[in-house]
Amino acid sequence: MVQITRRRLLGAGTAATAGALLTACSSPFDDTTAGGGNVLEFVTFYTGPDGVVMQGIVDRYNEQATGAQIRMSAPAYGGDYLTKLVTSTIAGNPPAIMALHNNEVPPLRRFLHEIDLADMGFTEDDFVAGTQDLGVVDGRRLGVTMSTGPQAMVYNRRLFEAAGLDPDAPPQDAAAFVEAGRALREIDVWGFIREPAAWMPWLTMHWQNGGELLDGDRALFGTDAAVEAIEMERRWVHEDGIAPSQLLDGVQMGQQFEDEQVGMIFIGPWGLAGHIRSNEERGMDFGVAPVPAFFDAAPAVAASSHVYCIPKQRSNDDWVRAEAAKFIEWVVREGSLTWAGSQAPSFKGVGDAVAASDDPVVTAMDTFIDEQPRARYIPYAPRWNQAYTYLTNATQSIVYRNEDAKTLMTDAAEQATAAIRGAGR
Amino acid sequence: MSTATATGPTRAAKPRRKRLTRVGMLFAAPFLALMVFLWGVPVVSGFWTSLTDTNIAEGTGGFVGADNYAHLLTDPDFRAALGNTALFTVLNVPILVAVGLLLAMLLNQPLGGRGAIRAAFISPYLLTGAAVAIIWQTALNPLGGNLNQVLSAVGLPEQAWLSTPGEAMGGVVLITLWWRVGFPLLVLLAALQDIPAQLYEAARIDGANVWQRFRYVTLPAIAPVLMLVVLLRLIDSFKVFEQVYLVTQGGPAGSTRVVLQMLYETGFRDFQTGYASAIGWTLAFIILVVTVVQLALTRRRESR
Repeated sequence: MVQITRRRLLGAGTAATAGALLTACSSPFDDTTAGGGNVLEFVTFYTGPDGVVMQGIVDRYNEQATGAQIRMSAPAYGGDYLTKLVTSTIAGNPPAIMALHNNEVPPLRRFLHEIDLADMGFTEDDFVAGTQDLGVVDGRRLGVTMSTGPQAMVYNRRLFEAAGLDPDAPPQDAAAFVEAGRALREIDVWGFIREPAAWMPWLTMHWQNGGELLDGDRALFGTDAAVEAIEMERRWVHEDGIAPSQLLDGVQMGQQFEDEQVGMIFIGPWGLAGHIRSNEERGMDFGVAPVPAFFDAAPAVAASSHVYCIPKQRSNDDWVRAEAAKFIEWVVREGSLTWAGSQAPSFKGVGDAVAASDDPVVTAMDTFIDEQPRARYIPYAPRWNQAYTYLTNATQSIVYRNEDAKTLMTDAAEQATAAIRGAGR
Repeated sequence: MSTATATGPTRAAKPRRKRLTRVGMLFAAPFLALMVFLWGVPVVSGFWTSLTDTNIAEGTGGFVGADNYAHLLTDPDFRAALGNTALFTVLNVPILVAVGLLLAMLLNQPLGGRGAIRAAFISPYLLTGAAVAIIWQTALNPLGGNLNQVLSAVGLPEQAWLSTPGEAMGGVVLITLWWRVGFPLLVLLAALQDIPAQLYEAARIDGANVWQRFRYVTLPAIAPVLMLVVLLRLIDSFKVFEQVYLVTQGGPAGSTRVVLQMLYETGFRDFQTGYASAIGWTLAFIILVVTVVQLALTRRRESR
């Protein structure tokens, strides 16, 4: 019988601990290039139906690819998305390709490879004007813009008819919008529900009114253009009575639309597929139209952007970079038509195919694609997220609680400016 | 061989004790090493980081001494977050402890279905913050949420719940009450069950009514445990984060933004890890002061 002495027990414990530590350092299941495999991680924010569409595109790529295989993942989007990318990059284990919004590229600029469109066989003329500028930081192209997400208005055609409105003539300006909202209230549904942040629809209205968000490091939320835009929203709630005074998030807003409790909402193209599916399941009939021109100073609509970037790797960097560039080039050239089922592709080569498609989502995407020339994008500024929080807080107080617009917007601008300028802390 | 005399261990026993101590330290060494690596190093490193203006995205940063702490004193964002945290604590702790005590006293009675009732109040404690957030976002939906449906059904006006600043903080307190009442309930129930029944009998014989028995028998008997529960809830309240970040995101209009949310956003959204570390150390200091004051008050009360 083996006698267990203290020394043997201590030795066994040390060996077990060492074994556990060594195992933790590398996984036998790691098939990425960091683990010696040929799988490239493609991290995106496509968490909804657009994720399903992009996964289909990735699967098609993998079927014909002879080099790397692509594995797509979509961590929940929010403030944490960029955090995960930055921290994984600092830790030396970034994905091979990452999807970013245009204002998320600058914080990662020291970690990204420069990209030459010509190396991929593209020129800027192959894309909707201005979209490829979204990936340029300090004169260096750090990403390729796959698509953008301009806002559009979706409206319930059945509710329009019931309210005595022409479902083929959705409102195109502020007066018609309020009139439609009032008619919808007469049949006991809301005319319009906004998203809780300043993203929809204040940003669009502000730009339409000739406003700008920033002048260098100075926030411009307190200008007349900005105040007039939020005042219009406030009136919708507290004077015109066409929008509720309760704060709803984006999911709740979409649910109210699908439950036919509101006639008009604004969405990005990523929400289109869900509503079309609802149409088919519930028989709701909805239409897509451009966001009305609430002001006439400038044609504008707020848009998101999807810029594909290639981070620098600690190992096998040259090979990963080449394979990642190959994937991006393929996705843009061969995947854009399919991708039009989720977002507005920036590649001009699919324009005719989109118009001729028999996929109802792709066809409806035409409205969003047509909006791209007047799309405006949130600019980058240090601590912009904090600055945007001040803007959101102010707009929420004004719209939901009927507080003074000029004072709050001016205060928000001052706080945002202080935050941006204090980014060196 | 004898190793001890009436005057103490012999010289022969000392090398053995030293050997036993060394062996003991060797056994404890892996754990101590882990403690130093997982706790000590981050604590020291975090404090050092709080003395810098490090930005991990930009890759910049240098020693700035106490600048971060000085800025915190005048930072309106921090003052607002601290105020919200204090408000949450002032609302949450008394309500949570009082409801926990009431439920414990109820469950200390010979009721039918006591086990099921106890399980019903304790089981939310086992849920994660994400699950709690999903449940309550649905329940507190101002348009058609469960709670408003109930209010409407009984003829009461529907509430805006998380849509207005005052109601949003109330909503967070309500969510925390439902989620966390299990802990004080369990601990206080155990304390109540330890009180000898003879004390209540004696009080009844002396003519004490329900309130007097509670005040002169129950409360003094569970006072040490009650103070511990209050202290732990105080510390927890200052560290509130999940139910705020996941349900209200600090809104509306920043009315529920708490210190830990500010710390997280500063460090991991704005990547200013130096300033975020200073926020963390300041919060830790505040919790320490509150804990010391609480303990001092408890000891003074006990010495009376």
